[in-house]
Amino acid sequence: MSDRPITTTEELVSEYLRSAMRVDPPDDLENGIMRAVATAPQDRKPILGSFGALSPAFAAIVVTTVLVVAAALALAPRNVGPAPDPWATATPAPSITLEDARVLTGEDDVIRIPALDGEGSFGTITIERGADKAGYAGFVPVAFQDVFFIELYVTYEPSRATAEQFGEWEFAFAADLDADGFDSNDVLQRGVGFSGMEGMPGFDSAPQPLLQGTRSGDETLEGWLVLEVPAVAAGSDLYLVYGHNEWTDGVENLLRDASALLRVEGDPIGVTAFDPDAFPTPSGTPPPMPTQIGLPSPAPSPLGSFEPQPNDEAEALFADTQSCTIEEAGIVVTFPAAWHTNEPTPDFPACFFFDEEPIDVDLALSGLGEPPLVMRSLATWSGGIEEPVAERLMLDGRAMWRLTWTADQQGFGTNYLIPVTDDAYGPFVHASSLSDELAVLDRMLIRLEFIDR
Amino acid sequence: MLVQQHAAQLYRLAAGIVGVSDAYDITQDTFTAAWRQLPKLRDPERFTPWLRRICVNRCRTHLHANRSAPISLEAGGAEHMPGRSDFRDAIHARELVGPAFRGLTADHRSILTLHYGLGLSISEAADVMDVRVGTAKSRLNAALRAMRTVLERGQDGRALVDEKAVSQ
Repeated sequence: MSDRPITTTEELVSEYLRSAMRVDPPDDLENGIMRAVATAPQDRKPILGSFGALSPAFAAIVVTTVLVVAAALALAPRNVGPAPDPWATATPAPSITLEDARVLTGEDDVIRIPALDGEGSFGTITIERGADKAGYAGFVPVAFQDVFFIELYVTYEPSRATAEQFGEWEFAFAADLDADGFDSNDVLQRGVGFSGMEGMPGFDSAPQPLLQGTRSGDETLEGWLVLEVPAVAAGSDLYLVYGHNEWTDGVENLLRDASALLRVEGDPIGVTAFDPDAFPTPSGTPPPMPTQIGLPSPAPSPLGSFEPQPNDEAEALFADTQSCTIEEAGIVVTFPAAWHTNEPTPDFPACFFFDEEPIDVDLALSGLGEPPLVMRSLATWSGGIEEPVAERLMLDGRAMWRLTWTADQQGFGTNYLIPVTDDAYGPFVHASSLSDELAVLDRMLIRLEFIDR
Repeated sequence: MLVQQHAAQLYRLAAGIVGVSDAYDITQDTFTAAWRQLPKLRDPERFTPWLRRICVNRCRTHLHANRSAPISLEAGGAEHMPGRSDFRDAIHARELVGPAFRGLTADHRSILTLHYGLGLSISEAADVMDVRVGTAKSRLNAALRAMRTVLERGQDGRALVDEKAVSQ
């Protein structure tokens, strides 16, 4: 706040806001957050090294997520087929019995189950099976997992008030991938899909309204619960689980409460799951995209060639150039002679930052003064590749991604992911521009030299 | 732990922008969104402003979804305000600040809350809202002007407050 005198209006506004914000959060706020976070899918694989520093708690969540994904990947073939041996010893498998023919295998199937809290049933949950979908326009699942979507319309109808929270976080699904009974290594995922992804690409194409957030008391809650199911699960029976508050008690208890059969092994998917293996193809031909019966598929991105936008000022900068090497990626970066790059430090390798001003690595490290251009070696990309923010462009025979986030998406400008090898999933050269210096970055890209190729 | 460290402040930020009744859901949604978008955060050092930005965006989304007509800068913008016998009385004026604030646009509520409620500088508030400093300044001025429009007018057009500078 400045030292200038404040006006009466400012004084009144300040007084009002200080009063309005002088509130103590509810006692269960932190627990509620942890529950919500624990049940929220993070379908972009995080980089442990980058975020472990945030806090042990978040790091633990990240580690847990990665382990679950790793377990699924270790067990899962790319497509439906024989499963490999489990890599961990299975715990005794509980028997799953579905009472009252709880079957949601066909479109329009409906079941009703009791809504439970600590005192017993507080009402009814009606679940109606919608259609399977391969995807939604504008939403491309992150690589490394073939997925399809199952839509369920869920309606909570309390017959009495409950003090406990209920909502989409209470649901999960499970499949016995290794066919030896359910154990802690089986695919088990909680309410996933678009819920909570307002503002993210593809959200507008998700079923509306979504079952979102939590409620308590005697409020009715209804909406679509969208399950994002790994395609490999189509090779096993798939169960919907209503877990109430028992998520921390282990998979056995969850499965004992299995609420409905969603799919039977061998049932046709009805859709062709997204196949990241074929996308993008090294040859640059358009990849096969999801196809589905009677439903729109995400449109494939055109594979254009990368051309910097005309910019005389930026062009003039490259009349005289210098270069540096990103050893890890094996590339030589050419940049304007009038610009600067950083020397190596324990925190940053050489040739990491670029700026027209001398690089202050300490300032960059503080997060307060990051130089406008960054170029780094990246083993894999964790941020998701989604249309329409993602474009595939050819750069000197390499199918690279250009990812552009806007302010509304809490992003960080323009990013390029340039595969260093023929592996479409990394390693990458990750180049990003946080500012108006994109024209310079674009010209640096077309001058990249790959030493080993 | 991050939740313990940030939950209360985000709750208060949300309470300032959207009101205490929706602050719980906003705070919870903020952390859920942060968890989902964590891989997009390149610089962990900037976690706090990033988290605040998500919270503010959640508030804006919430207000847009539940929006009522914002205060008009044109005459008549205070028609819904209760009449007062003595509009120069600061106590009465204070009673009108809340309704006036709740009539602001989401952006105006946000910038006022960040600057006057949370005590952030214009630059810090601009960072949270992901706008340029100049944009933040103009939003702040516009928000204050909208507030003053309401506070200066009563049903009979008499001034609610004298817009005079006071010592800080």
